[in-house]
Amino acid sequence: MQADPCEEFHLLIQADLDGELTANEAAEVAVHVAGCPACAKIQADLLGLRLRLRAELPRAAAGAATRAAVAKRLAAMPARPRTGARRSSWASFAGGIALAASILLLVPMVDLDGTGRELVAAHVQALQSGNPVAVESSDRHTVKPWFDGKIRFSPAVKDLTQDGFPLIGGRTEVIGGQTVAVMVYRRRGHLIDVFAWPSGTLETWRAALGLDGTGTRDGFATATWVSDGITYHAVSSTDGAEMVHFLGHWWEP
Amino acid sequence: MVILSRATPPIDRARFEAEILPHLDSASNFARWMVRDPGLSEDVVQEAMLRALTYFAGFRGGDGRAWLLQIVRNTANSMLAQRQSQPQAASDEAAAMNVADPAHNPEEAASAMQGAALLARALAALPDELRECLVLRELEELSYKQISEVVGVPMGTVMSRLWRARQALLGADAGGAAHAS
Ligand SMILES: [Zn+2]
Repeated sequence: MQADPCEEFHLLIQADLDGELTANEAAEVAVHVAGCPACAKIQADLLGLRLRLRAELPRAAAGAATRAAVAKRLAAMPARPRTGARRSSWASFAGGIALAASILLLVPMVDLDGTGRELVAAHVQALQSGNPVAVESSDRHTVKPWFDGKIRFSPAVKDLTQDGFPLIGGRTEVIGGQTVAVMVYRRRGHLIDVFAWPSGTLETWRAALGLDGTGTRDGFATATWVSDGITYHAVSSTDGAEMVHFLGHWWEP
Repeated sequence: MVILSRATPPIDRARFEAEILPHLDSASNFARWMVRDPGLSEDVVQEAMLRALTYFAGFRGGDGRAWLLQIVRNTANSMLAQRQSQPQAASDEAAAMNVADPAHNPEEAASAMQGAALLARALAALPDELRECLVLRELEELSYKQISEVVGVPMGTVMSRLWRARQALLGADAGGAAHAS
């Protein structure tokens, strides 16, 4: 293909059509196009194509099934009032969970089931050992760097002291052959172990589908969620309602 | 099998309804042209909306439509990847897309239908990276900056992809009447 002296104008003609030029640039294009039949044809072709695309390919609206699914899901969401006090956000979150809990899901656990057992066992063992933390600190700026060099991912370490869930430290555990981070929080007399590891595809899908959740296993309250590519699994001897509170605060920005 | 209840972060529902929900049709249209399969695209949109609800707590405001379309794009790509190994009904792609309603005159209608079907087929046949940019610009009327956000490429790349997409469609012109002049 031979060099086209007008080539520099092509993207400008397109940008003009797309409304991306300043008035001065657009004027420059107009002057050139007025005196150049080849560029005038390009401009006409681009405009013609636009008219056809918009006229002949009407936009697909969302289907009724999708609208219904979204509306239903939204109605079941725990809502947080924009200006609500913290206490009321607790209440509405818990209310939302109660509402959502009426929609119980049957979820094939695949290998996550075995992992769940290991996590509960690790929690119990840590309690029995009397050494639930390897780094003891309520300061997340102390706990977070402690993980450097021990794991290759960066789990969220939250300061939830004001919410009644003080951080007491962290440790690592080997679960299913991989090293996972454990952030340890306290709720009154109970410890909450939050295990964290990089999410696998399956877990990300479960989370994306809203299949993560709270529950119980072997008498312990559990919660699983995914955030920023990391799967978190909390295990505690505290009760399920407290776990829901904890989760609500964990997610607060 | 284990029974779980759903747990998602608490969100400001009114804000979601004001800033994200109005773009549901955009999401649907974009999904349809991305996956080119009406059944799958419905799944993609539902899935994308669930993800949007899940991630909304992390949405810091700004362009809700670009934010949602980005989620749609990621969702479509991951669902397409999951279906990768399964056979596709590629030949029906264009036929599956809705084309313009027939005009009043039956002959004109037949001709218009054919033109629209050819145009739909040509668009559906574009490489993914060109098609998504063109759909976002021409059908969703996004700016270069918004497209750059959704697709995750620099604006210069958006411009060159749009140019290539348009030239490809103008060149395809199989049914004649490339432009209504
Ligand atoms: Zn020229």
